Amino acid sequence: MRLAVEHLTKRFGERVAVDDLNLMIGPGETVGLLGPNGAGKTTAISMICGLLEPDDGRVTLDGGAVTVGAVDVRRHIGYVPQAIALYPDLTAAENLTFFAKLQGLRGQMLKQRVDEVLGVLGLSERRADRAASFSGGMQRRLNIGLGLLHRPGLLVLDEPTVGVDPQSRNAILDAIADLSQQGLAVLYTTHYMEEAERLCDRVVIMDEGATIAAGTRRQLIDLTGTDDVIRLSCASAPPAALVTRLAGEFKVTFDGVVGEINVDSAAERLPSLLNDLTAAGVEVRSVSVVEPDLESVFLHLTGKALRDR
Amino acid sequence: MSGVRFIAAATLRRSIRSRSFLVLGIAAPLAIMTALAVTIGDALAGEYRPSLTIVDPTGGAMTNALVAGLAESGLSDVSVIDDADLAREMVIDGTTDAAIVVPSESLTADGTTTPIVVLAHGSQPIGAETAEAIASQLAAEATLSLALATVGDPTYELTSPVVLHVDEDVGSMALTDSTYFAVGMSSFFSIFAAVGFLATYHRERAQSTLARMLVSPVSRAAPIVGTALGVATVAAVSIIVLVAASTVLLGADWGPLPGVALIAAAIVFTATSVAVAVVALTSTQSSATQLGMILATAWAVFGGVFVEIPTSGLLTTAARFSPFTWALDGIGHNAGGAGLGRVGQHASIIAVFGLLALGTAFVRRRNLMRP
Repeated sequence: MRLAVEHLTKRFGERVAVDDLNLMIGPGETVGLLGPNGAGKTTAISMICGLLEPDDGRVTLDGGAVTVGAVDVRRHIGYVPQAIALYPDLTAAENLTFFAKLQGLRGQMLKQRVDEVLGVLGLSERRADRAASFSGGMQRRLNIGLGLLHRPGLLVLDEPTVGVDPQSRNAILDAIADLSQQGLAVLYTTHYMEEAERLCDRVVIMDEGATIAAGTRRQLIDLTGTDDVIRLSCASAPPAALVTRLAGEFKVTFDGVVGEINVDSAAERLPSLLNDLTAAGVEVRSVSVVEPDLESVFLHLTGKALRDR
Repeated sequence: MSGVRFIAAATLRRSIRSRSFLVLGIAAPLAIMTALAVTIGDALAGEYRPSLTIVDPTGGAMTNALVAGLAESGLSDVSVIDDADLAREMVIDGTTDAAIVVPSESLTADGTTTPIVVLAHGSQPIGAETAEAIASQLAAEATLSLALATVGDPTYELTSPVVLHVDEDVGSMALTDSTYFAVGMSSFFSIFAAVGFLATYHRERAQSTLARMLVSPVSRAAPIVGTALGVATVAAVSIIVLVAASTVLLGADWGPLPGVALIAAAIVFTATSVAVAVVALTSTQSSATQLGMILATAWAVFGGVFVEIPTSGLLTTAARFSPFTWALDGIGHNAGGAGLGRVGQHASIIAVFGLLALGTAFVRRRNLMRP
């Protein structure tokens, strides 16, 4: 399904929680909403899911307006809230069955989907256990599964990995990537830049309600004007003539056998650099590339760090 | 509508799992009535001595002999007055269990008999039966005297000179102590339980299950309506247990079942509606529970659940603003043998409190439907 968000705005009194948000997500695409806590991500998601009426702007899903009163359109949305939104007193299967019924699933289809989702989540063996007895990671997985039961066209995840151990986080991110590959449109909010970089085709960076940048990862990094850094460790110091020649083209710092070369694109420049060094008789023992990340993009655009705010 | 049904069913299932159904619906009502039976049951069900009032304007010898005999037997407390209207008021307000109006002359000048009238209320069957038995005895003696006086007069036809007049139109009642406690505590507990249970709706918001329901293709009102239906079911079960337990353990007399069902249904409706209003007016589970407790306790105090309200004065006026007053009065009428129409009036007044609560909830509906 195709989600279109146009000029979405929400105010709470004097405070503008979301200011003129625009984004599009097509089938098989994953778009990230990245920003610190309080940036307006959850408010934006609430409007996108029809939980909150915007003051301005509109949200459409395959052309159908998503509003608070639009019951049928919401049938196509899978929503995974930040909190673990399930009933601890009910079993995994009972939780799934209850929300599946609310989504309109009945009979054999309901049973089949519950079984499938339990299988996908790796919880088939624990289907009859109460959710309260699950580990945090298992509860998180079940939380995501509840949003997938009815095979939505759009999956909206609000920081689904908060408080999850690294192993479970990896499993969750892999599962979301798989869903995206299967054609699901995914909107993913996070304040973890690594997750946004790993999952998202495009990222919208928000701060204090405003959209401060949007685009692919490369486009966002280009906004910073920051180079990639190639770090080299050689068996012997490179000849002075080679260093001088490279310094005419790039910013080069060499201290004996170890050096750094700043380039606009490491991916493009690295092969020729290695060729030059090899041609000059320098044996390169190790190479590492440090690329600017979304953290540095956020820092560059706002002057603030993304985390710990 | 199916969304409402599923949410109500899930609410009940969760309450069974968390044992709140068992606690609020069954265990607590049983515990309350058992505690009442153990602690004050003997006092409530102690030896019963009906209080009788004899109305005899002439203060005849027969009345004097009767009063002396009853006082000696210790079967009942007897007082003598000379005003039949006052006696009727005393029966109505429960000051006396029954009254016997002795006519000034059993045999009138034209040869007809004047009946001995027993004034009683159906809520005091023992008092009524005692008074009727005594009146019959009096009448037998009077008839015997009359028969002896009319021997040889073939035109005189003996008729039964006693009329038992059980007044169905009395505006109040005199519930037995055990019934009074049972009705009062049941009404109080219903609101207390409904608010306590429905207050967990705020937890649905905090843990985002409410948001998840609202993103589903169900109506915006479905979560609160479904949850309220689940709560109403628990409240209904609890009041059934309270009625049954108080009848068995305390000997409470709620009266005919249809009337009990009417009043109980009104209480359940009002308790649930009040709980919805309380949730609509608050933003956390604890504040909802506190507001519910304050409301239920205030209504219980002014409704006479803990202390009986005097029959006149400011408190009487205040009592009209408590649904518990109308529940007590309604069950009084039901136990007293008043018809369903009369009991239904009281049930309707109780339900008005529920409708007012629903009105309040409607005004604050945004708070109920926000994710």
